[in-house]
Amino acid sequence: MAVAEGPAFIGQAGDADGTRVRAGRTYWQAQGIAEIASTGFALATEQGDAAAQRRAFYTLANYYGRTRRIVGTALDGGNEPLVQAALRNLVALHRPLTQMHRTAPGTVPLAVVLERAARDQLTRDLVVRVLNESPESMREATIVERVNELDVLGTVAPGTTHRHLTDLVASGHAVRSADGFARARRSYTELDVGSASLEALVGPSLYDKLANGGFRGLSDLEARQDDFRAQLMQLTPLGAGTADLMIEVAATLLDTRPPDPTGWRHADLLNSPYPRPYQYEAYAVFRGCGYQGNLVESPTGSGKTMIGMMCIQDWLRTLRSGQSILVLVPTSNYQQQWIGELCYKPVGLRLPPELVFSGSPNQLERFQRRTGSHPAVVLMTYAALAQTGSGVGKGGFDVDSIETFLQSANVQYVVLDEVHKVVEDMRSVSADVTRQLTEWLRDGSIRGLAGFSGTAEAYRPRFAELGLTLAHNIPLDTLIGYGFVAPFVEFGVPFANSARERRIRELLDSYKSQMLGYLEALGPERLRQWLAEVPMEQRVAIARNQLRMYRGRADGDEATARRLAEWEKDGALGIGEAQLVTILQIARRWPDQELARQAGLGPERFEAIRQELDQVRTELAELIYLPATITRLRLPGFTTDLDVDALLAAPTAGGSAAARATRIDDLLATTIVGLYGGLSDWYLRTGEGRVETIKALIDAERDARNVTGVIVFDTGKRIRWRSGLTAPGYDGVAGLFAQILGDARFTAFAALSSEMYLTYDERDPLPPRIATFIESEMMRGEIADAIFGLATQGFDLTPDTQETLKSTFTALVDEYVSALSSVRARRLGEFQRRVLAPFRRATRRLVPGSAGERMRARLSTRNVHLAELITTFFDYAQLAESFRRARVGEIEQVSGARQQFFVVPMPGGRRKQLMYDLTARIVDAESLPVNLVIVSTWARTGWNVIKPNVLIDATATRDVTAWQQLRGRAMRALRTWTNDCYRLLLLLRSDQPLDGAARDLAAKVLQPIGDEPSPAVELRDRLLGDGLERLTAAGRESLAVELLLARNKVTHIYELVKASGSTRQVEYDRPARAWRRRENIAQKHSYETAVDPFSGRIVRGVEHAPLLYANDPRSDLPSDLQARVSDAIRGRDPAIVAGWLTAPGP
Amino acid sequence: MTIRILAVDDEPDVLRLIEIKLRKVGFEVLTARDGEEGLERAIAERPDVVLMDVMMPKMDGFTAAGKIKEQMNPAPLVLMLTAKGQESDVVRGLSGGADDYIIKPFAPRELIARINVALIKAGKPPLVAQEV
Repeated sequence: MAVAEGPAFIGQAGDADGTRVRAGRTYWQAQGIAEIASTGFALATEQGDAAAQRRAFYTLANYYGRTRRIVGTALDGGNEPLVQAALRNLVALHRPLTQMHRTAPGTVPLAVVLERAARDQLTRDLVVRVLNESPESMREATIVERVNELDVLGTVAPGTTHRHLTDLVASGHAVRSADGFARARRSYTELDVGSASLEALVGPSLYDKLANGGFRGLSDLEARQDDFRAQLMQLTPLGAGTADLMIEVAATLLDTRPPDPTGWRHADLLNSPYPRPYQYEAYAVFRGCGYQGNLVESPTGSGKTMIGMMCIQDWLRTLRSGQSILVLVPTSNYQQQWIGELCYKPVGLRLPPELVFSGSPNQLERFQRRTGSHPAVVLMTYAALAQTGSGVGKGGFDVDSIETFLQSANVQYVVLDEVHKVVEDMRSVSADVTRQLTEWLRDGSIRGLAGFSGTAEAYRPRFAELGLTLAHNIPLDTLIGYGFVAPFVEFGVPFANSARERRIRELLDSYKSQMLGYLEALGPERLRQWLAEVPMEQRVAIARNQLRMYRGRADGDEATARRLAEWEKDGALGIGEAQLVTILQIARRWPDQELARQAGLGPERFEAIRQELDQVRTELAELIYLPATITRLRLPGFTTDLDVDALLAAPTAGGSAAARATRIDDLLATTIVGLYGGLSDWYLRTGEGRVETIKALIDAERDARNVTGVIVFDTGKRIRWRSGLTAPGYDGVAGLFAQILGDARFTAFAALSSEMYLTYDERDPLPPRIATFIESEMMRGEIADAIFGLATQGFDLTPDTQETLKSTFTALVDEYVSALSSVRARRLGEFQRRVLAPFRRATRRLVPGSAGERMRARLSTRNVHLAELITTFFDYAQLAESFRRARVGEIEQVSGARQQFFVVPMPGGRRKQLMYDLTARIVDAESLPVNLVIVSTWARTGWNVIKPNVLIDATATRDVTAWQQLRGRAMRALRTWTNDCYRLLLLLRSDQPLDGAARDLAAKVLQPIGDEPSPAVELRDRLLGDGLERLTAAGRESLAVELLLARNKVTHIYELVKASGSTRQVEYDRPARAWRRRENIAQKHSYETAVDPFSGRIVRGVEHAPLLYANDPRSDLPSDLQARVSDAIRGRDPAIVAGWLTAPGP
Repeated sequence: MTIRILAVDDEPDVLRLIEIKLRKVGFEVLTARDGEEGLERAIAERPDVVLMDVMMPKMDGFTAAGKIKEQMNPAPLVLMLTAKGQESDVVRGLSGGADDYIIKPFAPRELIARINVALIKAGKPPLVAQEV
């Protein structure tokens, strides 16, 4: 007897022909029979009587088989009352049969609803699974034995296994070898039990109709119940009652489906404590809609990937080997984030990495050709999919290539991540790809599609155009109100000049007024007269070539001539006309000294002017930090020399246009007017102000509250350390990092996409500590665990054996890692000798029989999955090595101080992705002292840091998407904010009486607050004591706030905005007597929400991020700003949290 | 007049996709899971076109195609479905009586076009697609 249900039973039942049974008659009492059989089975179990167990089981199974047949014949005959009665009985019989199998799995098989052919294929699937277990060839007897170990349906005869093996060789799925059979590389698709069961239940003709309507398997019925009722009533004369019963049967069969012996291994997220209630809710929405192109909107940082993983887990239940789930993401950073959550993160799906592929369609094809394995989850960017089949760089879109890919990857389900990016440009290739996918969804070629977006509401019509529906929205304020996203507050901080820059401006002002005085002394009339005497042609040539007047204008010469003619008119000389003097000086070859003499200015008077200007020059040279400008200020021959020949030759000299312009400015720097021209852009330089503002913010934060880490986003500028001592100035990541060096309060880590910089500390250098961290956390930790899991997963080992195996393996890896050095590449052979071989020997002792053999087969390096993990192990080894071999660079700060720092190159390829992920771990690691991380644009997405509670966006670019991405980086709730914290918060915010349950929760989550006297401790003690009932509403609220503060964090986000220069982002609002953002910048804030820290209210629009400045952002000093920020934030966190708590409940 | 296609493949997902895509444009589609069943259904249902996978359990596609051509008169058009990398087998298929071959994975539009071309070559009316 092979299985519990099927023709054999029908044969035994003999007379069971549904057509003979009339409706309305109780043709059998299924419930009663089930009870009798169950009692008999229980008795037999008690007595250890296997034969009696089987008798009881098969009595019931007999009826079960007949019932299933009756469903079919009644459906064909249109006998609805009979259909309903039989369906009810099927449910009543199925559960006790399942129960019996669970009690005695070795004695009685599992009840399934399948036709003979389907059951036969199920057996073939098992044969393939057995072949998949080992890269080596297997003897036929071993295969038979192993198939029977796996099979839950009954005994499989050797002849049946042999037949399947022969068929598998014929179909190219297996190869015959001298000593048995091995798996070939052709991918194999397993039976879809859900579809086969539905077909067996309703019969082929109704099944065809249902399948055409998109109901291909049991799970479709369960997922889209309303839709199913409607369709069934439309397709057949059957009513809603029958539809409900069919759904119930589907649910029962799904609940009791056979356990998957070696199917997709992964953590059970759906039944774990990790998903947050709102994540469950979103998942339920997707599932309820049957994944028919629905979207969920959820803010950055709220854990959309977790919802996606729950969907993937649900899909994996029905996904068969050979089929795949496609996850489309906007950029490769997102790919990395998904891989982390799918495979490596402790709170994730923990899929074996070999089941997840990330790359382009072509890479996937090569991977499959090379390894013969078929990943279950394929991660790809929209662009990579869109451009498949199109020539490199052509950016085209080829429908046929995409459809070919979907077919070859056998894509069944699709996740569209950050789908709003797709609709930003409806003519983009990403939109085309999405259209294609929704087309496939509509015609049933793919079964499900779910989309996520951080911002979807605004794009609703565009989504509709692509066939996507926004089905659910998770508001940010609700998420924060329950602590699932860390509460935050946002400020705009205008940055202007530092004290030095202000002094520079004052000196420039002083220079300017003295220069104008000098021109007045020379006599404007005389100067204008002299200018008029210079032939217009010569004037224009000098204005064009040396002064670059009206550069780039087609009518430049005419415009110049008009302007120069204007200058001949009467009146005092303004700053705008000062260049007149330079033209004159070049035309007449007069340095200032000669010009003054010609103008009749007395030598003493001239000398006094010169001395005053020279004093300004000297002071400027000490303040200014740009070497080129300093050279100009210190040029000898000021007022006495003018190299006219060089000036005339300069415009036609070699080099770039910029270099020629610099050369001219340098040559003119010996004249009073010329020097001013070369200095005036110092009015606009705010590099130091920016860096000082960042430092002031950090200082203010440290002064006012406990800072757990700072992230600064800045533009990607490298330090040119390779060419020796270098002065990076203030610009971007390089400048900020350079100016922070030497400040003992910071242990900084700057990560660009090309290299990383670390604070230098000779006594306790950071790079080796990071190397050790990589070795312990990744190599000995995650990767070793994954290899161990790969080898031992699915075996029925005793806890003792498991423990001994684990400690043996850990010891081997520890020893190997300790001895590793100078790793430059993967060392498969060495790993095999030093770790795998000794471990295999240990398994020989500890795990006898076929289980041991299979375990050892998995530990072969020919196992591609193991090989992948070992590659990752050595990738980490190389990363650790690169930290151990960190170079030391040296920079000169603006102050002139020299500082050393460590440089580690950012690796390329797949190690780069690992390194990106690692940077977040380094920032979050308690064992490492990094307290300031400076990152460039690569970290905007897929970079999940938890610890830092201060985020500064120093890029001053108000790109909305970029900003949301950045903001999301520092809003992850702390891990200490558990679902228990949420439950307690829910109780505190409700009006339910606080009782024992609240006390238990409080004890669980509030103990870690400590015992230092504080309002929180006082409240906790009241909560844990007897004062629960007496707690007032205000007391509850206060405890809720304290709970969030104690177990979560409040992130302060600062957005730097420019207060000066041509691209300034703030302006003075005279009537309001306050500074505000300019219109275009304010516009971008219009949809954002946050708690205003001053009013404590949730506000939307530009007010959500108030501007912080002392008096006038253009002239505020960083020290003024620091005091202002410190005052503004001190003690405000409780009010901020209280503000978020006013958000509407979930 | 509807054009009847019999698709024979042991991979259910390929069959399902062929079924969906061909039905959508107006073909009538029958399916079989191996060569043996394909031969039986071809004889019983007399389709206009048979799409025949090569490597299948019980009876391979070449054998089944050969038998269809041998046993049926008039014989349906037979298009072999060949996995990428097995193109060399194509010669064998064509010499065995198959009318054309299509390399898997294929784009649905190409499959429809190839069926139509085969129909035209055989002097039969092609499908006027409802929606491609």
